[in-house]
Amino acid sequence: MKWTPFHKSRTDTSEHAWRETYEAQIVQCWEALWRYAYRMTGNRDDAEDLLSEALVEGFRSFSQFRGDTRFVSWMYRIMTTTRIDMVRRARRRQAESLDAALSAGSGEEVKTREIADTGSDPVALLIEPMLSEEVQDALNALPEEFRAVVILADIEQMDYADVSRVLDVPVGTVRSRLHRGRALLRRSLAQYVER
Amino acid sequence: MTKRVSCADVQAWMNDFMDGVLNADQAVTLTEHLHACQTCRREWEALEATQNLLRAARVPDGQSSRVSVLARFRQRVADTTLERAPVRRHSGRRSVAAPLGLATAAAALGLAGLLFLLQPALVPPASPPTDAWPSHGEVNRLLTLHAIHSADISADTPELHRFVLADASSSAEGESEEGGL
Ligand SMILES: [Zn+2]
Repeated sequence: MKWTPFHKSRTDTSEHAWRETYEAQIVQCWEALWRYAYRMTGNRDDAEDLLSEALVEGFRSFSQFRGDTRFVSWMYRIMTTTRIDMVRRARRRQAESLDAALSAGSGEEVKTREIADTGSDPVALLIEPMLSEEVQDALNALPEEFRAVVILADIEQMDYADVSRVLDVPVGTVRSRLHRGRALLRRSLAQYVER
Repeated sequence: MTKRVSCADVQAWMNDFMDGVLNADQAVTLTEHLHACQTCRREWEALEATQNLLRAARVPDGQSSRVSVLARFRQRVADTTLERAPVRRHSGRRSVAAPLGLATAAAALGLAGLLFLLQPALVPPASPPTDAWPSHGEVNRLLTLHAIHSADISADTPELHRFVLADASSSAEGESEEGGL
């Protein structure tokens, strides 16, 4: 039986040290985790929900982290499985309360949209708030598994082998999902990318 | 002269070319074809433009979310710990745990020594002992700290790193099992 921080009796000091160490690692790669969460979910509320859930999941298995992959890659993997679980749960709930949803109208579409952080790049300030939104919409339209591959390979620029390890799927699957994901994105962004 | 190749082939190669995993022969054929065929050139440019858009798109600042996410995380951990915390052991049952504790104490001391030798500056100050024997948690905490810290040196000394990690964890597990029997 593997030891996990939550399930065994330990002193308060020890519990505290575990949490402190884990949080220090999280804070170090926060920007990367945030980008991934935001691009996977498409809005701040859902990104925060995903991160909160994934942080708990990560802490449960933190004692099994051996440092053979980068901590951030290890967290990408936990966030991906957590996200897929959350979407499945939400769909199940949605199916169960289909009548209620139909009568209440589509509340799901009305998510707060934020102007993306464009830094101080003047060109970006002019064109990016709009385009970032379009890109995010195009990403949102992809199936979760494709989206994860596209974000990791094309935005975070990891190679096939690293993505394969993070998502625990064969390299061939990474490659085919990436190609299909790109084709879908290219089509939904056609008006911006075709001359 | 341009090699005979179909537009479908060229378009099927574009992704691999983009990722730098298309072999040189095919890459040359593709480049030549792009010069000659406007349809494929347009397709390639659209693919590149999509890539550039993806990379240029920004996400809103995440620092403001950090505090609230960490607060929610701590709350969840606190709730779960309270829910699952077992009743504190009576001191009389210590005798069962003692051999195990002795073994893990030895393992922890050995590991602490290794940590000290490897990275003296990074070893955190030992907390005052709250118990006669270090808990499993304490040993595991040391193991994890060790794993984190040695991640920094692994690039320079991967063999040493792996040896130390494997050695420390296997001896800790081995002794724990002996102690348990
Ligand atoms: Zn062609």
